[in-house]
Amino acid sequence: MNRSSRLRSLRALGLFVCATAVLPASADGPLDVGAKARDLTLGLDLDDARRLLDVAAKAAPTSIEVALERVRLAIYDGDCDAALAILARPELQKLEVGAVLAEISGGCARVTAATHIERDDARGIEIRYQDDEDRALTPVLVETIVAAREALTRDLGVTWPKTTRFVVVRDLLSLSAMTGLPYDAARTTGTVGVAKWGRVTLLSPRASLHGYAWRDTVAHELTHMAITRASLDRAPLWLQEGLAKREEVRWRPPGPFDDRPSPESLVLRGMELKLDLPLDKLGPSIAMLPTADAALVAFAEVTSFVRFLAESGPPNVLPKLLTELRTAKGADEALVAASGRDLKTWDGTWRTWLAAKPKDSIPPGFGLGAAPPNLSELRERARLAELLLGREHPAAALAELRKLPAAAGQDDPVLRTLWGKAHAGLGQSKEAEAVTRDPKELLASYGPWWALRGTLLRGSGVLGDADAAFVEAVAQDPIDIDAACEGGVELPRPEKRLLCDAARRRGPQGD
Amino acid sequence: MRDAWLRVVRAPTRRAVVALVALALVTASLVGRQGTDRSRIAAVLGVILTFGAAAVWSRRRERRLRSTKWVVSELIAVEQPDVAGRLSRALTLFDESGNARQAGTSLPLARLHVERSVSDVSVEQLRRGAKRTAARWLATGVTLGLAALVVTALDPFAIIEGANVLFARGGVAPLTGTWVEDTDVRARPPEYLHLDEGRVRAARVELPRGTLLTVRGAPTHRGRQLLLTDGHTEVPFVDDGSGKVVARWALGDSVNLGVVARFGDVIIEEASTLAVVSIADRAPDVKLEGAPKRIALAGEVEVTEIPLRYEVTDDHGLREVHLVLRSGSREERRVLAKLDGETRSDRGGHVLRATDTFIKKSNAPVDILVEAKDNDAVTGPKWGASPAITLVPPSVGEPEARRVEALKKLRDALVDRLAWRLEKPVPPAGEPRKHYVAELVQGAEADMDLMDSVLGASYAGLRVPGRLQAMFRAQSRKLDDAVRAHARAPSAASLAALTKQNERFVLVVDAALRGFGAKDTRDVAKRLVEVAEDLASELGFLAQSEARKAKASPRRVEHIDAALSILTGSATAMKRLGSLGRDIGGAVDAALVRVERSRKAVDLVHSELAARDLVARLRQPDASFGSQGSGHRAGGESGGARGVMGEGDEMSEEEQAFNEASRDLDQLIGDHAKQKGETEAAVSGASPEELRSFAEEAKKHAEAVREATAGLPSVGGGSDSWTSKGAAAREHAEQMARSLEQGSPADAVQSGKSGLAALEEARRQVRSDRFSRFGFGGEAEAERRIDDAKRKLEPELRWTEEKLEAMKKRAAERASGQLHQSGEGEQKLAERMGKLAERGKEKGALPAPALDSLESAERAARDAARALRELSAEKGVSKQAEAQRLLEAAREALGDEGQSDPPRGDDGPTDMGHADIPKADAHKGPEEFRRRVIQGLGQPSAGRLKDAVRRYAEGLLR
Repeated sequence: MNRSSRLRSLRALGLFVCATAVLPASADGPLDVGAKARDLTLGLDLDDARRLLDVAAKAAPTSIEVALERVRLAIYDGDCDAALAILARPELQKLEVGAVLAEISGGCARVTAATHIERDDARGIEIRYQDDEDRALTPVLVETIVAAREALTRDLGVTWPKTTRFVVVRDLLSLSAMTGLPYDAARTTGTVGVAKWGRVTLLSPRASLHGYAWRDTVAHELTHMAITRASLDRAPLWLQEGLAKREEVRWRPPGPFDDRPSPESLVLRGMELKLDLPLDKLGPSIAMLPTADAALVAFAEVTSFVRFLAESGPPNVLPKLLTELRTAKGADEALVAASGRDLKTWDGTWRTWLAAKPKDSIPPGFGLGAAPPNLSELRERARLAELLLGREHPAAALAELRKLPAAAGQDDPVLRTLWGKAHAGLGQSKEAEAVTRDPKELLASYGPWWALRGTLLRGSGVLGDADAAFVEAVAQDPIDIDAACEGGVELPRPEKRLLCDAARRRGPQGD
Repeated sequence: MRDAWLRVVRAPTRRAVVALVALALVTASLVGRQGTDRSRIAAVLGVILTFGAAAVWSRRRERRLRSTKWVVSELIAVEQPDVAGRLSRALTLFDESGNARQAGTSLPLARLHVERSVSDVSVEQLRRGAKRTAARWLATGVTLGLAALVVTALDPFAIIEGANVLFARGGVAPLTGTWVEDTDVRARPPEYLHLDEGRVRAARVELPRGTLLTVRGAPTHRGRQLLLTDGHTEVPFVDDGSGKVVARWALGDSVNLGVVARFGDVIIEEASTLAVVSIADRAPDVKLEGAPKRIALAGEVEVTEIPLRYEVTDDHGLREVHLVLRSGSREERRVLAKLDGETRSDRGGHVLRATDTFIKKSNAPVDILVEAKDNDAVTGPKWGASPAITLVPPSVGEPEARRVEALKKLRDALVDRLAWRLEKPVPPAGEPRKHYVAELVQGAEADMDLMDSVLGASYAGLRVPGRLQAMFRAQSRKLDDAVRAHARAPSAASLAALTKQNERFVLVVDAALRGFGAKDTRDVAKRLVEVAEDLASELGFLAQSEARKAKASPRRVEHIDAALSILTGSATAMKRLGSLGRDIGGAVDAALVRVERSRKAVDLVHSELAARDLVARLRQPDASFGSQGSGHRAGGESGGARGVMGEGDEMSEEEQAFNEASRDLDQLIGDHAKQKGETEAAVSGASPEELRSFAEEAKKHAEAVREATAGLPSVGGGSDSWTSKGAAAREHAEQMARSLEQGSPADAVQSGKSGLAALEEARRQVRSDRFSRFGFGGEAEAERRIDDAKRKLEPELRWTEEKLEAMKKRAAERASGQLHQSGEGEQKLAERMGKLAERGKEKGALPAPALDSLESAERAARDAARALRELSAEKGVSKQAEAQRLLEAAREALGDEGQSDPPRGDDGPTDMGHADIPKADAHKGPEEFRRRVIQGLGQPSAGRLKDAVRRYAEGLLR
């Protein structure tokens, strides 16, 4: 028997003694066991929770509290069928918490029924795919999870449970069913991932026409999972989201779109538009804010605040805060213990610092205010150019784009991609390379732009930069044909071929 | 002594016992004949007890007779008591083993004493006593024997039946009997076969099912419960009143019929039976030409009609022939022929259209069969069915996909043309320019031809909606104008104008295409919900069967396969509908993979769950991901393509203009109808005082009217007779009189005119009769009466018309303010019409026919306004009506009512603005129509039924 197994046995023995001591002593026994089991489950110590509940179930087989915690544990374990089976007891469903668990179990059982599971036991990863076609994402997804976990352990000192569970769903409806997030709220705020119930539910990049920054989302959601485990799910929303936004880009080298525009400028713009909210009044979830703009400002607020806290507070304030949250009576008490000041004081300091920051302009294309000028014309010309390119008339497409007012949509990645494709179609490599030269000229990351850049760079023999461009393209839109197949070259690595095949099966997305 | 006694008594005793046994047997038979288990047990027990008792008694008597004590005390003591006493005492000297009872007793002396006592017994006296006993036994035996004889003599056969019943096994006695003699069996086939009754002579006979068999005969023994049976069913024989018994048997299946007598639970059969073979009425034989076969509605050749030819035959007769359409759990039956039940064959044809509602509503394959019902009144009518013609409807979404592809083809052609125009500069004058112009015109014509074919085509029954056609035609008209202008004077400016128009047209078609794709995807998804639910339910049933270890029904498996095939095909079709179609089609594919995987793994519970997941997805046919926030960016949680343009689809300017013009036109029509209604109300109104005064004055005129037609017949003598016309005229006159009394001059005028018209017809009829060979002879008198009525009625009508005109004039004078106001209102409406037409022309939003109608409506409205301002009410109202008619014609030119707003793409800015729910008085069109119909139907021509007709019409139109 090795050391860890001996420790496990001792712990189990301790739990057993605890359970047997508590259960017969008073009528409140199962309640205590239930609370302990819940803490263990929320902390993702599922084996310990299971052992405790097994003992408790034998001692009090009819206990509602124990049954509810067994349901919760089954959901966290990814065994939604078992959760549903336990919930067959009518008295459980009459309870509010029972009804919530039943809804989650039902949705989860439906969405995950007969789905394919990819397991990487060596690295403790289990990924379930609602759409088999998404299995091609596995290599990149696993690579991201591993990198993000390492970064989070480094930054926050968190440990990881035996298995990190991911469910990649096909659409927002399934995301809603799996997590309990109302469907309308998910649609309103454009939620793409939720870390809850012991797993990360991630929206497949194929759900969006041109993908989204799904690898950063993986890191973001893993941060939530780490925070929940470290704080026993006692972290306030500002800390949850602020830390997640901070960590979502720290798993990888800095990118051209990080911090553009800065969260501070977004907060200041949000304040002008009266979209800002106090840090402790963000509601149950940012995903449930009334508009995507409100969510954007809220994210900016918490990102800026947490960064300010990390940079202005004592060393390692964030890991300390998470540790304090496990035992503190409240978030404020934990913040005082970790940083010496409460939230109100920190908030005031941060706002003073924020007010002194110079205001950066936010590009109109980013939202938060008036639409960009000539938006209608931009759209129409872009569409005409896209149609002309689709019919292999690059010269005509270029003629359409040239009708746009000078500098109109210069930072728009879609327009720049069209410009690039039209030039490339006419063999005007220099002009094409000019519009794909600098990602910093773009408003936001865009898979097809990266793919075009990669193709042009590869054509010019700049292979390193081309590879980097394709990595960015895949990070944005992994099943775009140009991105996944890297401009149609022979792909040496099998995992790349896998993605390319999936993209080919999906076909071109233009109408 | 004992032997002497026995010699006398034995014989009578035996006889008595035999008689007793005989009586017991007879009694047992009779009891057992009751046939119940209890009676049979009682009978057997009785017999056993009797025999037992006799045996016990006999043995006991033998034992007693061997006892000296009993012989002395019972036999000797009866006749010789003293001797018996002495002998008894002597015998007390010995014990039972013959030794001396007391010690010291001399055995020889004791023996001697006994011998002396025995010698005193008189044998003669003993014999006398025996004779008396024998006499008693004899009497007993005789009595019992006589009783047995009497019982047997009463019904000797009953004793045999009883014994037979006693030995029955399984409710059937071992021996057969003969119960009915002179048997006569007759068979009457069912009425619907129209066959005569016949006598059955053979022991085996074949008869139609439903034949009534009558078995009649003389019972061999009275008082038996006789039955006709096939071993299961029993029909009792009843007295036919002539000393015979009769039973009737309705023939169902083939049977062996026999007569039995029932005794309780036991029957005694007759030896002979009648084997009847039942000839069943066959179900009709139905042949459907070409069946079985499969017809794909979306095959190479478009199927618009399915001609069906059938032939039906039956062995006896047919009642009905139905066309049956089945799809999934739905079934529809349509009567093809109703027959008299005598006809044995029928043939006919039917044409089923691909646009049939049932077929259009079916997402699953449709089985088409012909079924025929026969006239079998015995077992109920039977249906015969033909093999099926299976109609494979296009996959759900196939027609929509074809339509979208056709529109895409049109868009691509326009894009190619745009590229040509963008890339080709105007050549210098001369031959190159001639070629250029020729190519330009030729290209434009080709595009128009393509558009015509796309808009005119049917896509598996689906067409491009009229409104969209109108919008496209409006655009094409503008493009055509630009092409002509450029062809007339080619220049950079005219080319720019042409290119601009070409771009607009491309964007319009593109927006429509994407809008259609999204709308059709949603429609298809919603239609597929039914199929997916069906799949989930069937998988659920299979899962339950599996849980019960029961065998899966092949029909369910087939059903599941069919549903899967439809869903697969439909997903493929959906993917041709654009981005939302590809999205949801992909989701369907993904779900089907899961369903199939778990089905193959015989994990039907998860298979069902996966199908339910698909149902949930199809019920929400939204894009898999779509933020409703500004900029269409992802990233509520993290990351996201912020600020990326182009995932949404905006409505094109032309589309917006068309929809706006269409809405404006609708609004204009409503407003104009209201304006017209107000004018009519203003000019037709008389004041209440006026009406009261008129009613008072009109009373004597009403009497005059009635008097005028009093000479006419009140009842017609046939529709072509003058009396009929005359009676109608009288009714109209009566109605006129009533209207006058009620103060309704307009109605009175109308009735009066109708009355005069009827009189004119009556006169024509009389004249016609006069010259006909069938003349009735009183033509002159009839004509005189008609002329008289006419002469009296005409001045009354004139008076009423004058009164009405005066009232109208006064109303118009009173309403002059109102008329002026109406004129102003009409003028404003005319201006709105003009502006709408102008805008429609300018933006190319409205097609030419709509513009023409709109311009004409504007002219009519301006005339109406002028007339109303000049207080020319009648002209004003008439022009207003004309303008209204023209406005409605313009709306008709815009195409289908139901599709006024072309569909929008997913998450596009669908116009979801506030829509007023119109109130009853908001739109005068229907109200106007209602009024006209009520007026028309409630015309006085209906005479006495006028009020009823009006109520009926109001009910219809409410």
